[in-house]
Amino acid sequence: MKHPCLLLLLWVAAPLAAQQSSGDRARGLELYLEFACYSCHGYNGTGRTPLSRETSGILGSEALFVSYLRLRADQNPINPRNTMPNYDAATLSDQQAIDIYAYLLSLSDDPPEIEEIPAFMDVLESAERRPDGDSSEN
Amino acid sequence: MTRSPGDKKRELTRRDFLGTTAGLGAASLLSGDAGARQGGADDDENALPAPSAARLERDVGGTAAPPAATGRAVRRPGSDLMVQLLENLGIEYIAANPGASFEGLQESIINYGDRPNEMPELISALHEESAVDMAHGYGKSEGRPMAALIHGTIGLMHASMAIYQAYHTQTPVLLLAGRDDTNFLRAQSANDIGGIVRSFTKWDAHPRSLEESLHAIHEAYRQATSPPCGPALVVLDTELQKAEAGDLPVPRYAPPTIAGITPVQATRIAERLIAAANPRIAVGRFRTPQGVAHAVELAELVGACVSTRAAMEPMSFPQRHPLCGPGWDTGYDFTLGLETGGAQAAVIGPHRRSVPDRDVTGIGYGFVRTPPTPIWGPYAPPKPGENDITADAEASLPLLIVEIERLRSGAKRREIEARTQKHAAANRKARITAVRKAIEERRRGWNGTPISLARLYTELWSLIKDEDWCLASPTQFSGGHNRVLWEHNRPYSHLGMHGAGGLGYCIGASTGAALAAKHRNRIVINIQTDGDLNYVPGSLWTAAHHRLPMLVIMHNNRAWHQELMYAQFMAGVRGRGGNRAHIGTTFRDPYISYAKLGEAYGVESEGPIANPEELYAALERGVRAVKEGRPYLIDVLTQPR
Repeated sequence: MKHPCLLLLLWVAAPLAAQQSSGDRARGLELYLEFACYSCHGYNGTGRTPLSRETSGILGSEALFVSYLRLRADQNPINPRNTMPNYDAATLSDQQAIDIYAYLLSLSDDPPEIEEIPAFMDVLESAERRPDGDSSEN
Repeated sequence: MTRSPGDKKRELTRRDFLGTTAGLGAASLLSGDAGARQGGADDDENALPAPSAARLERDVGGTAAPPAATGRAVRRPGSDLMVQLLENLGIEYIAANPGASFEGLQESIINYGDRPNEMPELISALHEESAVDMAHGYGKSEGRPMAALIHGTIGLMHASMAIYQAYHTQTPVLLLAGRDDTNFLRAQSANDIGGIVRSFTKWDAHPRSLEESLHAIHEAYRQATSPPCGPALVVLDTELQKAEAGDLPVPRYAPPTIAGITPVQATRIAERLIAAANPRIAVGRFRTPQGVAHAVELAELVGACVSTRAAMEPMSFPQRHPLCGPGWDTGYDFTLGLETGGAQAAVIGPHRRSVPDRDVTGIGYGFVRTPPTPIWGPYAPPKPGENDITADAEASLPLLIVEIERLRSGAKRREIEARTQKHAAANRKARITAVRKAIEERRRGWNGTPISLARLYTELWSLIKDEDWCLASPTQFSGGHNRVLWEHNRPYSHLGMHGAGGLGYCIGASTGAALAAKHRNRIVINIQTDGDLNYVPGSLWTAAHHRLPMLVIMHNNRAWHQELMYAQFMAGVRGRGGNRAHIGTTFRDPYISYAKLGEAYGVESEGPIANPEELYAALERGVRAVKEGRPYLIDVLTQPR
């Protein structure tokens, strides 16, 4: 990362800015799929690396998001990675990045509570079950 | 092995066979009853006229009545002895894609003895790679070999990928290869066909007599099951299979002597375990379920908390044993490693690196290779820890247990019992904490479409938690959610990785695990990645044909997803964006229908399912089917990871 201080500054300042975007959300969805953002972040921003606004720290503002895309990633690795690729302005314009940002802001994950998901309660019940041979008191 | 009458293999009746047009034509030809018609074919006004006997003789040949039977030249074929020997070894199954070089042995398997085609039962594989993958999955599941029967040079080349992976997972597999050097295509034979796979098998032989062949199969079994376990090969010339055995006896099998720790080492380790205020045992992978049972006995005798690999690979310590977990105090004052290092004393059996002399060509495959060999960074040959003892842990445990029992005084017993209680309570608490954290994280995207992989694993657990199950597929590409959500308490709960990361393994290995499960009231789960299935999907037919309890749940992300991410990353670092990374890495235009693929192979199938609300009911149907002994496939459109 070439400009960690800038990114840190933006990150710290991010909460001060409202999460809003001038981007085109529909176009952002197209770009999200075209650039395979879904491959790590899932089709709904809830993939292995979550990206919904409730969970992601890089969605504080458009500026923070665009900076993250520009500064992210090793520039010349020898070995393949499946970490976040770098996107420079030549391949993803500021406007395109802002459109993606607009789409990301529209994502919302409101899953049920654990208690409302019977399958999770089954997992928990299994964990709480005293295994054979366990005669401990607590 | 016990078999109920209902398990008797289905006989293909004449009516079954005539159920197809192709069957009808063939049956007519072979019977010589040229005018015979069956069923609806009688009504077919466009049916061709039947060929005359003269035309049949001209076009097909060999239709004339055979000469009167004379005395058979061979009364006791050599291959009968080979089959008897396999039964004596307890070989339950032998998987094969048919080949001319083992016609003698195949005939003996299906016809010899009072119970023909049992012990071993011939399993029809549609590809030699599938046959060996099946033996690989079975071997991991049971800790003992299943056999694969392979045809000459071409069969071995097809099988080589699967052999390579079994070698890397150190799984016992018995390989028998037919060789016909006189009567068939020369290109399918060679002087030394074992050389094709020598670099990644543990042992091979090409015996020159029937008696040598029998001893060679015994030795291959010993080699396959001795540490480091692995695939071992015997090349069987076709003439030896067909030779008259006369009064040659079937030799008795002498099991291998596997070296464990010495009595002195056992005493030292036992003294330290007994003296420790808070001992720990770190368990890797044993060879057989017997090793697991002995490890449990040892841990209980000393009241040590235990770490396990059971959520990652087979034959490790039960995950929900009361002693399994971090324990009440992580300040361990003595750790014993069993097939794992980094301990004050670590008993680790010989590794596959110990047989590099078989790499006679110097190819240097995988872990056999010698430096310099960069594999994602500088190569550093593994160095044994200073406390490592090179001895098989499983073979060492009985002696260690005897020593522990000798040293356990009355006061010590009470201390151990108290410690055990504290460990059990702490481990249960740690388990609950870990699960609570895990489910909170996995709640994300619960209702998302396509379906969250965490949801898939969670809902599946609800349905199988009270069953005897085996998760046969690797899970790292589908999130590995089983590791924390499921409880891996049996030696075969999870069969682990491919071996060398070679795709195509999953469906074959799961089929092999299902063969092991079939007569043991067990079900097999295969969370099947789409890229992997497309290599050798024919095992689906094997599962249907042999009625195997295998639930195939497609993790269908319509991509070789790891490679998609690599391409995307590479384009990013070169400043070329990532919008073309799908080229060559995805299954688009057209999408593949796995439900149709499954149905084509005779497996009851459904999907694609993209609505998460429909998932549980589909899984319920699948689990019900496999509990009834039928394979079932559910195509699930999933999140990428």
